[in-house]
Amino acid sequence: MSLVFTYSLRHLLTRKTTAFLTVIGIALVVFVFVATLMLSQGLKETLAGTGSSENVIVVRSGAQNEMMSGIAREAANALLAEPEVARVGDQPLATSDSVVLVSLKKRGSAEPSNVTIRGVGEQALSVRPQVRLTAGRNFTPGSREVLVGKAIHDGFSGTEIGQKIRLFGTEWEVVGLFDGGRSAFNSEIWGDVNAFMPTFKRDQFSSLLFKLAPGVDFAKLKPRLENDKRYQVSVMRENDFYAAQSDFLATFIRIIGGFISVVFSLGAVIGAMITMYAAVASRVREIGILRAIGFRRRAVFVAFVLECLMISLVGGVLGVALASLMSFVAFSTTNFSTFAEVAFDFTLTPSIVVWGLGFSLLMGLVGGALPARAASRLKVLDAIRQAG
Amino acid sequence: MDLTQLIIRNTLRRRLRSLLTIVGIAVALFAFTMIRTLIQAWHAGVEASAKDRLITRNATSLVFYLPLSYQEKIARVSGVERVGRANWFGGEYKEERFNFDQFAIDENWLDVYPEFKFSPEARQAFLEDRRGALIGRDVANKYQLKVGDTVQIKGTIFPGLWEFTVRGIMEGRDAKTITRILLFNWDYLNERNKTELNRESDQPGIFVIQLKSGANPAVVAKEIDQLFANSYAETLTETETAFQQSFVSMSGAIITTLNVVSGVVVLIILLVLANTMFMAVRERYREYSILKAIGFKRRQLRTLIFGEALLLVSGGLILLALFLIPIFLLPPEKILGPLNVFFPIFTLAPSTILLVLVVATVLGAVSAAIPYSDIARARVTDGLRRLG
Repeated sequence: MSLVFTYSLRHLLTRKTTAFLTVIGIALVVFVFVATLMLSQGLKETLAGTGSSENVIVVRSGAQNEMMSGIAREAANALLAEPEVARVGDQPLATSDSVVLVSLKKRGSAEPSNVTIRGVGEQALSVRPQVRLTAGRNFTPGSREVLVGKAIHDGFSGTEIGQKIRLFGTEWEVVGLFDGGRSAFNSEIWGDVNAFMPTFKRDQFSSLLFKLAPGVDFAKLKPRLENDKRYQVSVMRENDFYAAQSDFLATFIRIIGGFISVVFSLGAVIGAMITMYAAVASRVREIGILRAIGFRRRAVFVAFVLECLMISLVGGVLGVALASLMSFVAFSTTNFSTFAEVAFDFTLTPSIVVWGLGFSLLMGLVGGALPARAASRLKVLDAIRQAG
Repeated sequence: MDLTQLIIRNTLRRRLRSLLTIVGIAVALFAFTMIRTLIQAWHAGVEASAKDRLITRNATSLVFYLPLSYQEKIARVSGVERVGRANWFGGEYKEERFNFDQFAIDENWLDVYPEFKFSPEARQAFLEDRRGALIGRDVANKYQLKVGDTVQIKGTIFPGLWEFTVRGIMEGRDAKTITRILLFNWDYLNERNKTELNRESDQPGIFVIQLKSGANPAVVAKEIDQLFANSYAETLTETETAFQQSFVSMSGAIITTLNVVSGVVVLIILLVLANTMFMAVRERYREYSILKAIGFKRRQLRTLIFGEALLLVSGGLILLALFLIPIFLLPPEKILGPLNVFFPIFTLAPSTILLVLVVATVLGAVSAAIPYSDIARARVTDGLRRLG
């Protein structure tokens, strides 16, 4: 067996150019395949990571995102007085948010994008512990001050501390930067909800977010609030709510990426087949000799399949390595579900690596099997007689 | 035997390899064509737009509306022929989002958008029925709707159930017009906002402006925006083309990625084709030297090698046509499946066909160039000495 292996390896090394071209072809396919998986993984983790399962978000019944929703103040007050809401002292651990979109200019581009502006309550940072201030200070309640998320700070101009953002003809000073870990909050600007609402002429909140009191059964709470005629709301766990907003975009990326990967892999398989058929054709006499000195058909078959698997594995490793470099690239686009900008990373997980390498081996196997079969079926005498 | 015959014979010598190469080229060109068409489909809104039609929206973002009183003020600006108003409704039909756009519009809107064709009777019937609707041909076909049918739409931004009666079906002026649209009376929306939804009324989302012939769009746009500068609701006026382009730009990162991927496909085609040409020429190294020895000119050798590459490319193009024709005879929803909601128009553009032809020819030439330069440089005696 080791002889067969060495034989295959030696051959690869002698036919460097064609082997190299095939390796590059497979590497490109694996790169695209893995990068797509990384992108949809990154999007999912970002939106699922935006919420906590211990938090409950309340929006108007039928609203799919916070922009569409509206909850009147009286309803909001009544909801937050419910016993299922966690409390510190007599304060509910909750925030009533007002969410709007504002178009701001991206760095290095004249094109504006829709940025989510979130007016939050005083408890916002306690209810969303994943959000930490990284520079500057928190806004002063009632004042025209805002905090800027990490991705907005990186991606949009005019968002440094001390700079002013113009909203509705009024100036809002950036006083702090925050990092929401891996969450869509990074693509938001936060300020005091009570300062924002008069500016935006909104008299309704967009959403309520509260932490569940210990021991509350969410499965019972949800129908109770949703069936309450006074409220007319949808009640969801926070993580589920945001995860649902990744559906459209994630489906989109998956379908496009899937199509491209399948078509590309066909191309790569054909490339591998061409190389392997040529490898067989140029070695007909050798194969004859191998068979004559006692190698079995199966050994010849294995030798050629192995050769092709080696090529594809090298291509696969190269492709995954190239794709892993994409981890350093931030990807930011408009989420079709909310029309708001969302930034996420290419995220590499061990299972994506396994998929990528497995995919490359599959291409090698499919591309190598037919030529290897042709090699193993050669008649010994004919093969030896053949010239060259 | 003339050169053409020699080229064909050469190509047919390794039938399997030539066939695989042709299939490989066709598959990769197929991916290339589909990605280019997808990018084009993304711009369908821009393609359908008019450069001499202006759209005025709230400068803060589309989430915010404009006072109705602006309509008259805009109408008085010199260069403005007519002003219509519209609100994007964004409702769900049959539990699905994004199946078609719905707009609440006034009578002027119909005149600003002459590309929607319908009978004067339909117009009359629509205007006389508060709950009337005009639907585009695409919607009528997809849901088998005809004049007199009732359409129930669930509001998301404007909550509640909205019932419309189809009063007319609009045909597109040409293939560019997107007829996946439903129009209903703006007054109906406004009335329900006021009476039942407790929302601020008299708030159009956008104004659509038809210019007098000869008016300069940029100048008029600037004049409109200056009218409302430093007011509570500042405006942003731009040509419809720029307005549509801003939606496309929101997905800029995805489009850039698709462009890169289509470049990678080109690279893969080059790899497959170059591999084949490289192997073919190497196998025949001696033959080419003999041809040289018996008096073939370089020019003739060049014709031989480039001819073979172009023959393979042509084979690939023919196969590509066989893939594409049945696909593009299908309606877009069959081709795109769930992605159809994003792309109302998905057709193969002549410019895409031209691009594919150019790319294929250039790739053929490049893949032949390297092996040819080998042959051209070789000395006859070296070539003859070399073993196959």
